[in-house]
Amino acid sequence: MIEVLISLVILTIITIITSSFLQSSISSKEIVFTKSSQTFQFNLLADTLREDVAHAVNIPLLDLRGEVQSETFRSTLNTNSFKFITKIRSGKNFSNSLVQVEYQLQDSKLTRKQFFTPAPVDQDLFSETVLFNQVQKMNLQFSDGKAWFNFWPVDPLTERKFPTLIKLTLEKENKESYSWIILSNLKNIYD
Amino acid sequence: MLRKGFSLLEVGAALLILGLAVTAVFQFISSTTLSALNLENRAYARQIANNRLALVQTLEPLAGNIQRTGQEEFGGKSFFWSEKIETTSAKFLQISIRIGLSEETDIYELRTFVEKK
Repeated sequence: MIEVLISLVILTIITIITSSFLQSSISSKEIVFTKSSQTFQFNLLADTLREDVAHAVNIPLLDLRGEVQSETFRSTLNTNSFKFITKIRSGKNFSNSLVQVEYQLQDSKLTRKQFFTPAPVDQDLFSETVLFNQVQKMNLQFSDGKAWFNFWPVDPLTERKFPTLIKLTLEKENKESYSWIILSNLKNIYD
Repeated sequence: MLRKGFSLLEVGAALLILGLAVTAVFQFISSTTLSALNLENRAYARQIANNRLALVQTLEPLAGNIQRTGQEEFGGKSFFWSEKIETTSAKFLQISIRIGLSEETDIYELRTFVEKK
């Protein structure tokens, strides 16, 4: 009788250990998967934005009719978007092909639209990448190196300049906040 | 008479081996989870350092050989940063930016040289 009881106790101990081991393995797998995908998404946004800004070209945007606009970088108040023209990557190198890119908050997602030309006549022809999910709020600020502004361009002079700093702040639905400040070394002023 | 089954000593040894194996696997699992958390913290710390570097070069310049510290909320966590500028030559400045989850320990350090303006 006593042997049976001891066996039962040992079996119970082994069952508890095994089940807790399985439970912690499952929760660990979920944490690792969630954190890894969050980190991947975070780095993707940081690297994509930095690359686009680093290879930006200070030439004027074109409107829907193909007419030259005065500004080279545009973000108007409360639109939650900004657009400019940049060089695109071709394999590991950057080609001389220019395209218009637009970062936009849409349906709680920050997306990057890459048009196929610097002057897209058809605004529906683009490839889209989702860079950040579950965004509740987006805040954009731009600087000329002296002060922050909530839109760009701020005056006729900055119409022909690329902002020195672009600050993108995203607040997720769980209230966690993230910000990226990208420095542009594009000093030239478009004539 | 031949005894069937295991003695208490054998059962104890088996349990000890099982316990050691389970402990080792537990440690492996927890270290994997910690690595994922550290990876996230380092990614955030790298971005905070890049943000600080952009500000030091523009809106918040440091005048030579001065150290500055601060705290920033990022991704639901509180990070501490400290930045220092040292004059290394007539043309260049060395900027060191350290980021940590406390003031004492650093998880990321960015060290770079910028041209004097």
